[in-house]
Amino acid sequence: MRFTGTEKSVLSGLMKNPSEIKERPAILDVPAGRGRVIMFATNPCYRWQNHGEFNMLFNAILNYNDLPVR
Amino acid sequence: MRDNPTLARKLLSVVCVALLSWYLDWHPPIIHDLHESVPILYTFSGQAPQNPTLDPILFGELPWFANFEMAQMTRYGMPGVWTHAFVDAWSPGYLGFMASNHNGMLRMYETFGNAGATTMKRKIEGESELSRDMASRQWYRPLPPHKEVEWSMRNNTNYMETGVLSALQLAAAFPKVILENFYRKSLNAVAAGRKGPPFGYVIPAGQQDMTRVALVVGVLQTRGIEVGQAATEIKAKEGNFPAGSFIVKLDQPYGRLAKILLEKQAFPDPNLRTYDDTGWTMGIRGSQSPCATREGPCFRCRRSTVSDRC
Repeated sequence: MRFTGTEKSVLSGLMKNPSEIKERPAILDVPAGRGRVIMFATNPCYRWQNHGEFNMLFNAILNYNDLPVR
Repeated sequence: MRDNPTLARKLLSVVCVALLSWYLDWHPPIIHDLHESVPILYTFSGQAPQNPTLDPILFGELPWFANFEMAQMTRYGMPGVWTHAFVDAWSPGYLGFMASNHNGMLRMYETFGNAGATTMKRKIEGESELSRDMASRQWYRPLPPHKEVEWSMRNNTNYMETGVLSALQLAAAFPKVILENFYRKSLNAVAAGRKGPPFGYVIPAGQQDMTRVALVVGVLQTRGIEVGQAATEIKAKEGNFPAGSFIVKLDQPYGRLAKILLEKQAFPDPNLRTYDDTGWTMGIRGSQSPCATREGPCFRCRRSTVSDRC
């Protein structure tokens, strides 16, 4: 998953230079040993505030077994 | 009491909800909020960016108190008391903002703190990124602190207590002004909502996930904001909304807070920093965002007040 970047990606509030992250990785699925690591570029549970991202976090935790084998 | 600003913002802790409930019952014009982070005592004066939706009177009151507290403590020979140059007044997040969000006023300090009860040698500058340049003399810090101090929690408490007593001294000298300001800010809030636009917000009924709508309406109600529900269809320039849609009129005493929580944040200047602007645009948490309406008369539709807590 990549960042949309640009001003269109800011629904509300402040984001400095949003174009700098355009097309850069937002979430990475990386093989590590016998497992996989799901890495978020942002903190998906930052101070319990960004509820919109919680679903992505819980999806990764609860459905880890369904990640495609590579 | 040490608050957790992020919890206070979205009322995610039982303590915050209980305190807000107490505030809305008793309406103290000022809440005081004590924090620990930077040396030696910063008193909140509300620097830029300021939230322009809140009453301009508030932004006169904040430096009025902050400067008095600094002047008193400087007079007592207590170095390192300063105003401005730290927390902005954009985010409505600290616990004390419960008062300023509801037409009252807050006092808030940041103090040096200590890692334990033991007296220890502390450096004013360099212990953390936050403490950079804290020993310099500035227009907002006329009596800078020593570069190194013997410091204990007792010193910290002395600073906080002296600041609080100074704030109480000022409040006791001008009780009528403070009370009249509280009344005037509430009156102004109703008038601002009548002047519009926007005049209010419609949260459409029939959304895919009404639990999200219930969460938003519940947060508004817990904050004392009146929410109505349309008995008939609402016809406005922005569109028609079915019966059952929620109506948040802005011509109410806490209308300014309703606007802050429901509108899209337009940050005034990307060159300015803010303490935090995450997670308090409650409107976009619904599956369909609330619609700001530029038409006051559309709210003349038959409606009932939502009395049950969502």
